[in-house]
Amino acid sequence: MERPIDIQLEKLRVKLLKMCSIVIEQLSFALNSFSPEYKHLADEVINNDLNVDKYDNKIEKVCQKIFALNNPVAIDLRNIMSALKINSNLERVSDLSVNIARISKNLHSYPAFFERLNINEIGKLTKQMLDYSIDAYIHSDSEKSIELIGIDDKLDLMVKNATTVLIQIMKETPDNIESGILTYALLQELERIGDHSTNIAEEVYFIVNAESIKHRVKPKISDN
Amino acid sequence: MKETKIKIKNVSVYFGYLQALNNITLDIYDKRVTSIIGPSGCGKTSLLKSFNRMNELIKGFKLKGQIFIDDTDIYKKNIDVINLRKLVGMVFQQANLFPKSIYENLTFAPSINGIKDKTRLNEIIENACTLSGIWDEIKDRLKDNPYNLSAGQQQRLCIARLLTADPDILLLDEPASALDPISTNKIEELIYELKKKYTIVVVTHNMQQAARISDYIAFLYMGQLIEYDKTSKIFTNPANKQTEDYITGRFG
Amino acid sequence: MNNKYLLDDSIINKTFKLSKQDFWGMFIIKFTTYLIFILFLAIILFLYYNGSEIISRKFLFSSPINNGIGVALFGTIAVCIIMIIFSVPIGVISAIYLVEYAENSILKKIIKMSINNLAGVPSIVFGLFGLGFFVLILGKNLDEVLNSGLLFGKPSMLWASATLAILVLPTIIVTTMEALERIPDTQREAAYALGAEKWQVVKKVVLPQAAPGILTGIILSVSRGMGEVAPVLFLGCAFFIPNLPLADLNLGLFSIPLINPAEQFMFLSYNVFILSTQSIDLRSSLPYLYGNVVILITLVMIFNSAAIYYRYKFRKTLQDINRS
Repeated sequence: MERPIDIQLEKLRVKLLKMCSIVIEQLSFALNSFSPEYKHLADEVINNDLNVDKYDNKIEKVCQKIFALNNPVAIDLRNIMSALKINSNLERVSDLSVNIARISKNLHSYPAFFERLNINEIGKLTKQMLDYSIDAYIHSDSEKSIELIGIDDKLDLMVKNATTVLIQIMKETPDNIESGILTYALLQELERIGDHSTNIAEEVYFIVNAESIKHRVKPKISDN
Repeated sequence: MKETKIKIKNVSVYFGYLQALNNITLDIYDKRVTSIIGPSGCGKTSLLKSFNRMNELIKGFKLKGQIFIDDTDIYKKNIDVINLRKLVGMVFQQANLFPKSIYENLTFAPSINGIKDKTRLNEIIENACTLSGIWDEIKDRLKDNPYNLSAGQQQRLCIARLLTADPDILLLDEPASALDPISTNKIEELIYELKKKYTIVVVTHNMQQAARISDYIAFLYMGQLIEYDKTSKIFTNPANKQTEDYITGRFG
Repeated sequence: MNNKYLLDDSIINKTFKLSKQDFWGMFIIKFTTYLIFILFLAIILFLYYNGSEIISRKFLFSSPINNGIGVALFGTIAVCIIMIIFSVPIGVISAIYLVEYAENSILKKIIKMSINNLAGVPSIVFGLFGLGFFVLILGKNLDEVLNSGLLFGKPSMLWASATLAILVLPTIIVTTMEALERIPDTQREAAYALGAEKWQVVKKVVLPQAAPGILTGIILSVSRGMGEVAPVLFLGCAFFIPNLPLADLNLGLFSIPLINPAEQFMFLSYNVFILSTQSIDLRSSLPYLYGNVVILITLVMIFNSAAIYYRYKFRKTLQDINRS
């Protein structure tokens, strides 16, 4: 039996999924814009951020309306609380993608040392994490959430290693300091996107299991 | 420190061949508000009426199991039912005041107890009405016809009438379901005040009301106790899927 | 103009057709109602006109020696009082038992059926029963046991009242039962929930509320009783008794006149019967007859009006309870 709130929950879900697809595209374009044939994508990403902000507002409005008019409890309540938080995480991911696009524009050419840093792999993993977390939301799969936490640890390690190598490169070849700094920023953005994907996954776990797995102690990552 | 006021052990209730309640076990705590919720016909009122043995007025009533109030089995043969009904008072869905003056309505319970002294009676009714929050509204109209009061006032007067019997436990059967929102609000505030002195059990159809006023919630379905827990737990993360379906309005 | 709110010609014809039926229907109903009222008014006015010349204080309060109906008036009232004393306690208590206490069993159904059948017995049969049972069996045996001479074994006011009491008993029981059943159970529940025992519920909640309804029944029974002739026919009613049927209760210093139930008595409706059927000279006894009739129906109308008043009060109480 469909309740009045179900119609509004469906509206919310549709908007949130649309937001997901836009943000996935933002990240994808931002990462691809490093390749010379896709340089134009950087501008698209920067311009599209307005669209993302628009959806952010829409989703907040829908949630506010549901709260005011419906008195949701139990699973409905968790759905909406988490929708708000996932929304905010997605909006941050888009902002970070815009930052990446700006970095791409400022790095006029593909730096040679990118290979040594494994940037491709890090970028791919970040993108995969975002896809995976959104997939977990679509399928309400809290198992994926647990997996993602492990993958995030891996990402953090990869970024840490890349950073170490980058510093070494900058020490060795001071000409690369300009692009080095931009690359350092890029690595930081990628790590943050990974964290936001993990946050999304944690919200999915909360929806399904009514338990919060946030703010756990980060396991110690050994140097090297 | 919560104490158990009413202990219900494996209680099943039958009316002739119809079984209304099946093997209910739960503890009602002292000086707390416990709400009984569930769809129509699930046995809420039958459970409530078992606490003051009002079910015995219905033909064919049979109870298996035990109900203890203050550690006394109230269905034992030697229990004074009349006294029990004074200790466990009940208010019904529709206000059922007698067609006598307000004063006579309020002094009904003490006078059948043998209290004749006018000063004492006046004291009792003033206390009860003050507790019920209706004294100011009726103190100048004690000789009047009670049916001239609004529905909300009549219901609060019923509560005052019940308080004159000096009960320990108050049973409220959908006390606000026939009232407008403002009167309902007054009744809910009253319940919140009264729980400092009395153990209160409320049967209600209104989920939000149960959420607002109760400390504990018992969810009944088809005569079974599906879940019994603190209100906050029931409404944020109920243990039972049926409970969740009911409180989110998927059925009932 | 094609405005859909304006009456179409065809619709106008249809509405007129309906209203014609309505009109005739209402006319017939009104006509019959007024007819009944006019008949009633005609009878009353006819009687009052013809009886007015003889009504006076002397007429009302003097003995038949002086062409007065004082003794008959007294007899009617006295018999009705004794009838109430006999029938009301038994009737009301039976009704309370049947409604509040008895289980819904076959026995209860049989009792109810018997009461209804009793209501249908012709009044002359009651008269014969009264004579045969009260006078000849009960009265005679009482006299033998008490050895007080022929006191109870003869037709008298006592047995006439007893017979009338049995006549009206079904009415009282049924009206009392109805009055009690119309009190909603919510009232009883309220009383029980406050810790009342069953007799307290009946005495303090149910009976006070049902009282006007019960009173209605009693008044209607009295009204009926004073109009009956057949039951009193062989039970001590006489056409001419010069003195009031009183006896003195000697209390030493002074004596109180009490109604002597062992005496014969006069009765208004019996007077009417005798005067209309066994007059030697009907022409000259007509005024006396009219006087009797007028007093009798005036009494009946007074009682019926009182009954209507109490019925109205009862209904109002029920409305108040149910509306709250």
